[in-house]
Amino acid sequence: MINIVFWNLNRKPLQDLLAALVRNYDVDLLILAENRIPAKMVLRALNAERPEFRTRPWSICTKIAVFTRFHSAFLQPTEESDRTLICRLNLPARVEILLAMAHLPSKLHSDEMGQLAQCQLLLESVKQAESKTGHTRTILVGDLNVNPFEASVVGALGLNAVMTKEIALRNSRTVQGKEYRFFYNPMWRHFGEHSDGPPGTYYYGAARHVNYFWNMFDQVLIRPELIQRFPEHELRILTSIGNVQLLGNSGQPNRDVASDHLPMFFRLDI
Amino acid sequence: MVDAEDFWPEIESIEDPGSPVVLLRKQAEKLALKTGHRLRGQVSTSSGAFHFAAHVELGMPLDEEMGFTHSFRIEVPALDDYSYTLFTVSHGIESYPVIYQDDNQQWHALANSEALTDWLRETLTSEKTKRVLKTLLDQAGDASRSNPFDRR
Repeated sequence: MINIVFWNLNRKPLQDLLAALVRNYDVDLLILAENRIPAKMVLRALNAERPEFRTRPWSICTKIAVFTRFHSAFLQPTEESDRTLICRLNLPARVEILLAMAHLPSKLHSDEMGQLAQCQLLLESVKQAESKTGHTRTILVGDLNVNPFEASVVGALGLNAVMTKEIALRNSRTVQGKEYRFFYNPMWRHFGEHSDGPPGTYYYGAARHVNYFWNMFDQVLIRPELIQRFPEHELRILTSIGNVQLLGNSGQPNRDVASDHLPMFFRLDI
Repeated sequence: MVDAEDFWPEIESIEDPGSPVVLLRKQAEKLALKTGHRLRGQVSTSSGAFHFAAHVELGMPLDEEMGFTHSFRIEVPALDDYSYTLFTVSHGIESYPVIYQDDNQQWHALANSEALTDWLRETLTSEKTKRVLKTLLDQAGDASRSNPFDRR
C-alpha cells in the first residue's frame, strides 16, 4: 500500500507544513502543483521528518513537482508536456501502474471549450502512455480546474470519468459508433455537506449568477482495472495537518496559513 | 474469377508538401538527423474535441465535426522512448486554416502553408524549444549512467 498526497500550494512557502504532512500521513509520494519552493528546500524539510525523499533532477513540466520516498528507479517518466507528467510506477514485486499528473489551465485563463481541449490533450497523452506500456492500469491525479460534472471531465470527448464504480466497470461506452474508455471519478461522493470532509477542495465566492462556491478541481480518476486496488474510504480531503487547521473560521481554506486549495490524500494497494 | 471493375478516381499518391502533417513530419525527421538520433521527432494524429473547441473559440464556422489534431512529440530513445509534447495544432478536412493555442491559452489561426512554416520556424527556434532540447539531450547522454529520478 502506498500513500499519496496531491496539493496545489498556491505558490506559498509551505515547506514546514509539507514536512508535517508527510510525517502525519506517512506519505510515500507527494505531488505538488503551483510549487515555487526550490526542490532542495522541500527535500530538506521532508527528509527531516520522513527520510529518503527524492525528486527529479530535471523536469520540463514546471507545473507539477513530484517527491518520492521509494527508490528513484521505480518511477520513470514516459510522457510529458508543459502541464502534464505521466510516469510508470513499477515497485518491486508489485503490479506496474501508470501515474498521470496534471495541472490544467485555470478558469481565469481558459473557458469551457479551452478546458475541454486541454482535457482531451491530457487524455491523448494518457492513451499514448497506455499504448506504449501495453496496459491501462492508470490513475490520473491533479488540479484539473474543472469540476467532475463539467463536460471536460464527464463527457465522452473529455476524460469520460463517471460517478459510480458500477458504470466504470463496464469499461467503456459507445457514442455515435465510437468507443470511449471510462475513468471512475470517486470525487463525487465528497461533494456537499453530507460528505465526511469539506464540501470541495477549492472555494471561490465570485458575484456571478452561477457560482458553485465550493469546487472539486483537485481530483483523482481511476481506470476500471485499478478500482479494486483503490480503497475508496481512504480518499480524504484534508482539513488539518497536525494541529494546523487548513480551514479558517469561515469554513473556507485559510490562505493565511496554507493554500487556497485543500490537499487530497489517497492510498493505492499495489 | 474476374476482377471487379475499379470505380475509384485517379488518386494522387504524392503527398502535398504544403500539408500541415507533411510540414511537421519534415521537421520531425530533421530533428533525428540533427541530433544523431539521440532525439526523435514524432507526429501523432488524432481526431476530436480539440478541433471543435478551437473553432468555437475563434468564432469560426464549423462546417464539419471531423478534425485532425497533430501533436508534435520529441522522443528520447535512450529514456525508454520517453516523449515530450512540444506543441499541438489542429485543422479540419481541409488542411487550412491550422489552429493552435499559445502558452497563454489564446487561440490563433494560420491561414496557409506559408503562415504555418513561419510559425514553425519561430516555434522551433524559440528559447523554450532550445531549453527543452538541451534538457533532453543532456538526459539522453546521461541515460546510460543514471536514472531520471535522483536524490539531491
